[in-house]
Amino acid sequence: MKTNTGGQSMESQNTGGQSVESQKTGGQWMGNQNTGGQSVESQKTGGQWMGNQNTGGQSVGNQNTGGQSVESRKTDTCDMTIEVSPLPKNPVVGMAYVPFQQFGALYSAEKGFSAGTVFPDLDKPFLGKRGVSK
Amino acid sequence: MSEQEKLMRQINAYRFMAWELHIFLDTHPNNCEAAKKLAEIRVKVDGLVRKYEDAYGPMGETSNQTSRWAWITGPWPWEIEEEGDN
Repeated sequence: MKTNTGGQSMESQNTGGQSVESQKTGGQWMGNQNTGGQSVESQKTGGQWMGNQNTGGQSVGNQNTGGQSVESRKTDTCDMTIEVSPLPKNPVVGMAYVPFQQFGALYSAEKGFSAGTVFPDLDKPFLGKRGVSK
Repeated sequence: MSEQEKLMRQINAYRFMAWELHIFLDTHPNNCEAAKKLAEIRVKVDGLVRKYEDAYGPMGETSNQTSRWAWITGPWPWEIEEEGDN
């Protein structure tokens, strides 16, 4: 029952170029290019872009009108990743803190699907034994 | 589990993974390692969906893989029960 006519739809843009997904509060666009295997996400509030094409602090508007090609984004690295430590450097007495989640190794899709999370850190199966495994 | 069900489960699993990374990025917008992983998983999902639709027909009305009303050629929800042993 293959009925592919090569038509395009607005919903899935897997084969071609750019898709513009949504506008967040910062008024900047989030773009996602599936074919390049790269994604550039915007900060929700700041409107700043991640990716090393931004090392000069440009906005995406500048990049798009500056004639940067899609190919140039393929050199993205993780330079713009901002590390946030799990706990504040100077914890204050009498305050409770929730450690900030760190990105690490992930479960496989299949394992995560049955565990309910792909993050091993968050995999806390309910054992009915006061929160500790037997 | 039939081949179709296996593929469907795989699609669901990878879609779930993509969603997990998506909501991780809600709280960690500057983590481009996660953003890269998400892009990677989305490509994977697209590939699986294409594979599924090539073999078993369109998954929904937004599918690229249909030119006409192909998704209504399958059994309707009330017909599935009738086809089983009643």
